[in-house]
Amino acid sequence: MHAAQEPAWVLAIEHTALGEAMRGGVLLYPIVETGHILGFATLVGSVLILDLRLMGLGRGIRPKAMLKIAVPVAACGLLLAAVTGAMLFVTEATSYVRNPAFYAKQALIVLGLVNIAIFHRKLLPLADRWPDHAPPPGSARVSGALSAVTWIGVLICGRFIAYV
Amino acid sequence: MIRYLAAMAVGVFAFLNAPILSAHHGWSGYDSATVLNLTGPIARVSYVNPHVEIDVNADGKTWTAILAPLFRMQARGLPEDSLKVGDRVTLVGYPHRDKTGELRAERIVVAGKTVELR
Repeated sequence: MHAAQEPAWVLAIEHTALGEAMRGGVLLYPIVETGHILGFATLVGSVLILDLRLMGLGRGIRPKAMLKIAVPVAACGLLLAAVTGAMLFVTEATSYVRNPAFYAKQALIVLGLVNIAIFHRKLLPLADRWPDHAPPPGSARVSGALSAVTWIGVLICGRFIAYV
Repeated sequence: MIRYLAAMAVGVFAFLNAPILSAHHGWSGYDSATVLNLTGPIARVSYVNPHVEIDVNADGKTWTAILAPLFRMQARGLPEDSLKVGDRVTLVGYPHRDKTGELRAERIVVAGKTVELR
């Protein structure tokens, strides 16, 4: 698309069959982009209600019950967003690698995933000790707050890609 | 706790730098207070998603015009074969604020037919 001075690997990604299909197809791009929105809407929505419970809102629901619903839904949303995101990237890779909002978004995604990994490995094993109808211990509340800020940040950066 | 705060600081830093480093090639990067009216032959056609682009020679220079996505182009009467190198077209649109020679076309006149692009 914008050939010029981009590194060879970026151009190679753009010039794949997938890239050609995304650019040349009338409906493929809008369908993939819609799937991306559905994916991140599902991810952010389910993550936020989980994070709010971790921060103490909605304490009528036991934390483990909230996790049991929210985590699989969020995981599906993340998977859909990631697959469609890769397809969008291939469409005009040369444009994305010049976009600061894109880099900020990827940095925040890494942050979000690291936070999820720490939560699952370090905090979740202790969840049996969390109160059923009160906020969980401090570290879980911090993890929830960080998660909320991070994934909302990802959403904002993603939207801003088109404007910077 | 320290790990969380450090990670959060990195993320917020990355996010805040985005507008500072902005490259201005988004939709708001065009000066909508200035309306350009250009007529000339098409020099290049890139009929692809997410936006169709054409180069047009007008006023002694080559302009790159950002048109519309494929679905809208076709829905509004501009299939791929409606734009060919050499065809004379008129573009009405807004110039890019930083990049000279680029505009976001609001409408295009092709073979006597005016097509709104927005």
